[in-house]
Amino acid sequence: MEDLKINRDKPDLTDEQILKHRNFDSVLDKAITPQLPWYKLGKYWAFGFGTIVILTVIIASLTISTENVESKDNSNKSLIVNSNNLNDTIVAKDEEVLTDENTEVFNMTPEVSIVNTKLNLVIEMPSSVMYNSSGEETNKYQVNVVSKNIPTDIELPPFSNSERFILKLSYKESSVELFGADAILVKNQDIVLLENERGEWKNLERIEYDKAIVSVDSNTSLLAPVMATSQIFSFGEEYGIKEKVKDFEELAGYENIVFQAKKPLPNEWYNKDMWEDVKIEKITKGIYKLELYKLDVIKTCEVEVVFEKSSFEKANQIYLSSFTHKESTNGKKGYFYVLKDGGDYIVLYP
Amino acid sequence: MELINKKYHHSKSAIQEEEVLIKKAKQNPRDFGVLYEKYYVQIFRYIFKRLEDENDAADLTSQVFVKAIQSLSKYEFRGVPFSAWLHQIARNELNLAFRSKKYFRSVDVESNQINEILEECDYEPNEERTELLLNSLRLLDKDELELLEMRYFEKRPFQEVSEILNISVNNAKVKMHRVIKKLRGLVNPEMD
Repeated sequence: MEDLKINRDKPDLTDEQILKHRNFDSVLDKAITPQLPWYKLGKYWAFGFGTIVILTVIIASLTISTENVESKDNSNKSLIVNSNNLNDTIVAKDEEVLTDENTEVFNMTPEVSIVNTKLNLVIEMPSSVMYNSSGEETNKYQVNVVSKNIPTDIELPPFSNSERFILKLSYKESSVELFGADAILVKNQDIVLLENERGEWKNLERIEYDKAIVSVDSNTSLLAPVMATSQIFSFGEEYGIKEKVKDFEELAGYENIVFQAKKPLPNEWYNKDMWEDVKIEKITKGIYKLELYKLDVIKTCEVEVVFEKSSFEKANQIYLSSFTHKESTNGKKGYFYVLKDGGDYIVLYP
Repeated sequence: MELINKKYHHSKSAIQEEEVLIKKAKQNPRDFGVLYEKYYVQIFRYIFKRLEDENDAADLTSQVFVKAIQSLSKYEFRGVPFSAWLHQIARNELNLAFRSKKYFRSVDVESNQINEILEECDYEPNEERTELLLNSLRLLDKDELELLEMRYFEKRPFQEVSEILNISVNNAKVKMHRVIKKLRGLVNPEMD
């Protein structure tokens, strides 16, 4: 688990220490009052981070052309975005976007601009720093949609000029994330599916859609990058490990590969000065055997390939770009399942 | 294992009384205050054991109760304590926060609990194995760690664990057995 911090014998808080945080009035106030973006809260004006300007912008239509996606004339239709239709989707010219109370719109990527001509845009300016609804600095931000089926105010960074608008949507309760510009990634295929007595998937929720532009990752030969979570073996140019690793198809193109043991090892094993030679062998895709030599002593361990935090992003980009995509038919009805608790999700029947 | 969460296991009459409180709160959110007072410390402790910072735990606890009030109309009484539902919301909020990297996961462990787990794994506790066990916690996935936490670090009975995780008691026991088996394999100093 990434960044798991283990606290040993940490003193517990007393009830008194906990109870001082209680404030039911504040909780009730937040629960029954619609959440407003930070710029609508009077107190943030006082910070002096620039003038907030609310504009209603008519956006010139942009031609949406995506490879392998059929274009569709949606000019006379409203796109209803609600709990039953949570897909990243392309918003076309003259299309209203309406949301219901169960939908949140969040995490607008700064590279895109809105295509829809009827959306009211709220643009934060002049600062390039974004704030979330709690007033914290962040590159991401969110708007809680509280009204039912009315045109939605959506915040965008200023002066976006990309061609495609990507809505990232979630349930308020389960907060299932659909992310990526055009993919529902299949993740965590080892989750336990629980059946109730009627044979239904009780920890999954069925989502139906009647319009989707969805692409599903097809196979890639590359190993999915994983971030290092504990001590690592890092060899650099030593022992010829870097050269050897190039023979492994699943690691082609990756840089700064390091290795993490499958089982805990004594700390001294990680000390490179201890070893006269190190060899690596592939056991299976993703699992390798390290042999550590000193005089006539050989220590072996199973390791997996991981990436340090500084290299992980680049590795992930290489991985994602290695996929070829196939896309579902636009306009075709379908359904898929997501985990109810909003964790990593799977696609069973795209 | 000593049952320490005595407040969780209500009598039938206590559960029925709670049902009345919930119905009232559905009519008027201000009446939720009774439930808030009743469960605040429990939920706070649950969250604080998984977060590093007391103030972060307070913020997230507040958020849990906000969500609870907002979702109360969807809550259905199924004969189990209301706190199980609150814990589920807390769990969801924690998962969301960790996924968005707003907070980082921590786990609180006591030395006697580590020894207990080592003994469960049929190992004699010593310093080396303790270190290996603590390192092994990072090799558990989040569900495995959560189960271990609830049973060994928080001393929750399987009934309570199953209600919070929304799985059957048998399922919880099977999964726990698998976690111990995995830890037994991970806590192995020799790799020759």
